[in-house]
Amino acid sequence: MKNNLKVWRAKKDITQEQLANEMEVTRQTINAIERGKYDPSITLAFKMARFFECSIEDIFLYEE
Amino acid sequence: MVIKVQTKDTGVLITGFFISLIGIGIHIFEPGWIINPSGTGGAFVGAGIVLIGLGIRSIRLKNKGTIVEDERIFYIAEKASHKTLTILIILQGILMAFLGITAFDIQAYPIVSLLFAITVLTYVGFYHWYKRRF
Repeated sequence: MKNNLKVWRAKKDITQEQLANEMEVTRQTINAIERGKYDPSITLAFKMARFFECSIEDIFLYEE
Repeated sequence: MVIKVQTKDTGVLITGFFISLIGIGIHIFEPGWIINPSGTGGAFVGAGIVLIGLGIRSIRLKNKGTIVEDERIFYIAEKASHKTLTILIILQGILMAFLGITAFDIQAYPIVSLLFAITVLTYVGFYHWYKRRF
């Protein structure tokens, strides 16, 4: 699954640490998501979409 | 400074304290029904100290506001546990077959200790391997 979380984070001008605190996860988790190494749960994806005021599809792109 | 302690952490600290106490008791009184009192006592004290250490670490990190566990950590732990269990089942199966075929007379204590060591090392190894992967 691809994502453009880094872009959304840059738009909000927040660090990985700040986003991690907002999402109640570790900074390493945000880093792993950005690098495409870890796919977040649907709950975390919804939380991110709500935080960035967009839809899940705006951040995450599912590719077969 | 106010130190917040959760019930789970208190439980871990108390359990660690009692396990250490049992270990010290075994080491001092050396009950006759225990084959290796110093080894058993040492194992209990070690386990107790590890629990106390983990409890104190958890309290300190939570007081700092550091998030210790999240869904990725649980995912990694799940993967590591599954792999460890698979390896242990295979190893124990081989061991059972070997002992069944050869009727090899072997003491339980070293075998259980070896399996314990393999369990810990396999889990820690896989945990770090998956942590680098995810």
